Amino acid sequence: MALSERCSAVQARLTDALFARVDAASSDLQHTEHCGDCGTFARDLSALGTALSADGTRDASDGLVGVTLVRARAELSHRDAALAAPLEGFGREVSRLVGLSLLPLPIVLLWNAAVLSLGDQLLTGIVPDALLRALTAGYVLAGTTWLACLYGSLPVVAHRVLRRRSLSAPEVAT
Amino acid sequence: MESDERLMARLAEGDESALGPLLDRWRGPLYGFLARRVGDSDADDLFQETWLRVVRYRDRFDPQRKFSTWLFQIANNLCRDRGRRLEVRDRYRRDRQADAAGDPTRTRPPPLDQTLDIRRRVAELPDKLREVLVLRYFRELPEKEIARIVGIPPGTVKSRLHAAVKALRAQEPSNGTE
Ligand SMILES: [Zn+2]
Repeated sequence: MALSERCSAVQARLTDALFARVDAASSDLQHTEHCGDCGTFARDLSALGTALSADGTRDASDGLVGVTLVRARAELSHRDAALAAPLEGFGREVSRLVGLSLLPLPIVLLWNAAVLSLGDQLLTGIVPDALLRALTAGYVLAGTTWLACLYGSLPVVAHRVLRRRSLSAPEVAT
Repeated sequence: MESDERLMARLAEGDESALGPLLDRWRGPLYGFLARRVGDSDADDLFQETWLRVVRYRDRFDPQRKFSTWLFQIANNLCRDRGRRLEVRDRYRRDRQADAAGDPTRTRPPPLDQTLDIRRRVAELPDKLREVLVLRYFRELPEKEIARIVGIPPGTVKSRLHAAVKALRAQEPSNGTE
């Protein structure tokens, strides 16, 4: 059954009062005395408040706090040490990444050579020679820049990979 | 007394001695929050994990903000992650129980004022309602701060609180006949 607007408002204010831990407004309390729905609501709410309040405070055991402190300190010193230490295996990681990126390079170069050659065949005679040369130069420049960026970023990637590995959480028995 | 934020700033600089006072100050409130959010058995794990994250991400803490808000954000996110993991498992278990019993409807719990089982009732609330209820009622945080911790508008905090009361009431047979 739908509640009247007034009853909804009263029940909302009673709920707010429960959470704010203040007494409900006297006009609302008066209403609950004459309205069956709101009276039941107020009784339920009061029972709920009593039950919630009866669930007393809780605390972590001293043992738990001790273990937590040990683990947190281990984490702290591990992270500091990891950040301060030079990254081991940096050269190896860069070589690995370079090796990986060299694998598809022949295909990339062949593909681009094919594009240039085909473009040259298709456009010769249609566009002026000067424009064709400019287009070819632009294509080569773009390709070279792309490769330079790719290989230039490998040391950065290697650094990040190693740093992340060195910062991963230490395993401390609980 | 040194403020939480100042202690966090020292921790961020690597000063280990700042950790003890912070942990001491917040052990009760944090543990109480976790125990009500996830139950006693999992609260221990999440308590440790919360502090490990405080240490791990200490340079991400903004000293302009309240430490407790950040702490409970971390803790609440861990509770949510755990909730998501359990949801899948529970759904599977419920399906199997319903199959075995041949009847998916559950028996109604006794009225609120006749039971000390409020913990279980709070535990059975949907996660979204439980997190605001615990922060509001047990941590006594204002709705605005809960909004920051949970990441929802303050108006939604209020409506979820009302929904939580409604859900807790709905478990109670008002006419008292069982
Ligand atoms: Zn009414």
